Amino acid sequence: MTTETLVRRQAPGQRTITRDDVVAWTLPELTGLRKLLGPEWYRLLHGLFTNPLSVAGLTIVTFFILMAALAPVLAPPLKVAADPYLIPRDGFGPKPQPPGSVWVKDVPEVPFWYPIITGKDHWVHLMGTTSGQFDIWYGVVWGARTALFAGIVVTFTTVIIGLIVGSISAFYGGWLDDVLMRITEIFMAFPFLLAALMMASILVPKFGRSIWPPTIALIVFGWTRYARVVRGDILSAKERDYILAGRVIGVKDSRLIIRHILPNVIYPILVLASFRLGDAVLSFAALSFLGVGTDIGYADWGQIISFARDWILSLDTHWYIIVFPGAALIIFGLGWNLIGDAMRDILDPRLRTVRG
Amino acid sequence: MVAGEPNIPLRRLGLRLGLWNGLLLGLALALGAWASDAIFLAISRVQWVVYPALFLGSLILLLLGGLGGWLAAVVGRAWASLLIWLVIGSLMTWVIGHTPYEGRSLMVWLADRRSWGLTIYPFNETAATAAALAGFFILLLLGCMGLLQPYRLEGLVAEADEQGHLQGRGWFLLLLPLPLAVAVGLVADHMVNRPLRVAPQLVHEAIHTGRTYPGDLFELSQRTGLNYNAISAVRDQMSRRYSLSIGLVDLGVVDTIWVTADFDNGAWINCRVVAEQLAFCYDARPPYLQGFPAFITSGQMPADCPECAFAADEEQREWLRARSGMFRGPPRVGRLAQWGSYVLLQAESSAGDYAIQCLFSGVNPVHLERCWEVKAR
Repeated sequence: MTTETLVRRQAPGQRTITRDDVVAWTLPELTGLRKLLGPEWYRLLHGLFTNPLSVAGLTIVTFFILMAALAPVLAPPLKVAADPYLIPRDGFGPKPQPPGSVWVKDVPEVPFWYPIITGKDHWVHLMGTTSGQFDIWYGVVWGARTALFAGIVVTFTTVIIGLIVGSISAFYGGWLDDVLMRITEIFMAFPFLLAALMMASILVPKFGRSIWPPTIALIVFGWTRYARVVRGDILSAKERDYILAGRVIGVKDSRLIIRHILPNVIYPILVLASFRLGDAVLSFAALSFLGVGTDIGYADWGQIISFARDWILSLDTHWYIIVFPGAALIIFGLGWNLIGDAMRDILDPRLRTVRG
Repeated sequence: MVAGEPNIPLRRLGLRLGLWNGLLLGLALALGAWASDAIFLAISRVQWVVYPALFLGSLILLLLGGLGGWLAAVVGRAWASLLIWLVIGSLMTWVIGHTPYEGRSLMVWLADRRSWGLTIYPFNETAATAAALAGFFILLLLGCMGLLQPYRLEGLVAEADEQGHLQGRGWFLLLLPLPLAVAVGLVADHMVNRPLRVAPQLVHEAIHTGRTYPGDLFELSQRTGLNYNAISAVRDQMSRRYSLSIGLVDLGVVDTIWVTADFDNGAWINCRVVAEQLAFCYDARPPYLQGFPAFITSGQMPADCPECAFAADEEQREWLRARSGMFRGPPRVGRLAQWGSYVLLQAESSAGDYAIQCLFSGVNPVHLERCWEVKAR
């Protein structure tokens, strides 16, 4: 807010607010956070919280994080369940029940907020049930934990692997670059989802049906894009004057890479990672949908959608079996994409120049 | 000394911060790997022996972290630091993977010297796979931390004041990777510890419900989909106070864990948990307290009690038969100790002038390992 604006808004007779007042009021707070984070991270964070797109994205992601954190409150598990990630089922019937149908068998504890809002004491299937009577509300709420876990683990791990492979390959070049890039291309030659599907299928007998086979499969085939992007950026960055100057004065390779090159190429990776986090969750759901993911009944959005397979021709009646988990997946992906878009805008020096 | 320069040598400050960095990383990994495990095991009334193992494991992780951080700070080169942290990470993986198995066995050995050398909780192939997978994430994290350590320490040293104390941003930079380390620890916990945690949780829940639920357990099982009925055969034997221990672990193809429950009224049951589902529970005493004395007396397994039978090789049978006469009647048999699936029994003549001790192993079937004579009272 400029000094002029403040002057215009002041009440008659009030002391004029000077630029010094504004500086004295705003600077200590800003410099404190800026000092803590450093100028670049501060600019990124400041941009994220002021850009409308990213605020929308952050709101969506925060919503899912809260949903995951509050899962035991929003959808209480059965008192006796050893694994709360297993969706409680109201019998075993094949026909889905519509939203609002009363919970008959195996009723979990009614959450405290439900009688307050509805005035009723009997717990219902808020989003209906799938085929096999798995409660959709429970699956969507607890599935947020699975989605966040899979998304973060896959993205974080693939970024690290991509950074290591890409930076070594680009910085040292020569035969090492050839070998690493040929390996990368071999991995990229497989259609991503098909390769992940095969890998997960191989891993299931080893690890059993759990969250790990699809997670590992997505990691194994997911790092290549980061490696290529990092390599491309470093190939450009390593020829710049400050790097050449560093080499001339004898700065060690590791210092050049870690202190001078990576901080300058990390931002495109952050943008890519925020886009890919949503993709990772979608791919995870796809693997679950195809039956190579988690155990049957595990709270996972892809698996809930897979329960709709037998009812795909009657979705006009049983729309809820696909709409709720599908909406959760789409909105989750949208949230991360909005953040990615905003980060790209914030970090793109050309856009910065135009705005500046 | 120029004003504004630190009063302590920069190198010493760097070493100190490296040590702190390593200690904190080790602590964060230990917290992630074992904090929730300890809480859940305590809720499930699992015997005390698991906690010293967790404490020892945490202490080792802390020391390894401190050693890694300090060594990497001494060397001061990124690639050497990477190597040091990869070695430390491998050792930490080994500790995290083996603590629920050999760690617990070691605690049992230390608590009771008679159990020394027994393979109580063997580290099997499935456990090794889980540990290897957890190790991948641990090595990835610690490898990155190792590579970055020299440069992080430079930043930390720059943030320290003249007395070498960290200020706001310094603490922020030092603590920044810890949430990641806790998260990796949680991943390790999920892979390594969780399979061993679910079984006692299920048994605890079943015992609790079996004691407090007034109705029919079969009907409750039908209604809830959880096999409470598994406990119905021993329902009348259960008292309020009890403790659980892992009897036998076979996470291979059969994916079975046996849990032993000891009640303060002397009842003693075994429960079989298959693929994280409670299968059945039964009175564990017949082979030890009926079959064993019957065999000493008659030299034969009791024909009318199939659950009293235990397996023994011919040499052990002959040894027992040869000493049958020394008891001059049915012996008094008592359980001296139990370590996992190993049970140590003492059989004493009714006059109290002759006694033997026998070690049994396994759960179903029970196998007589060896017997030896001991000095009677």
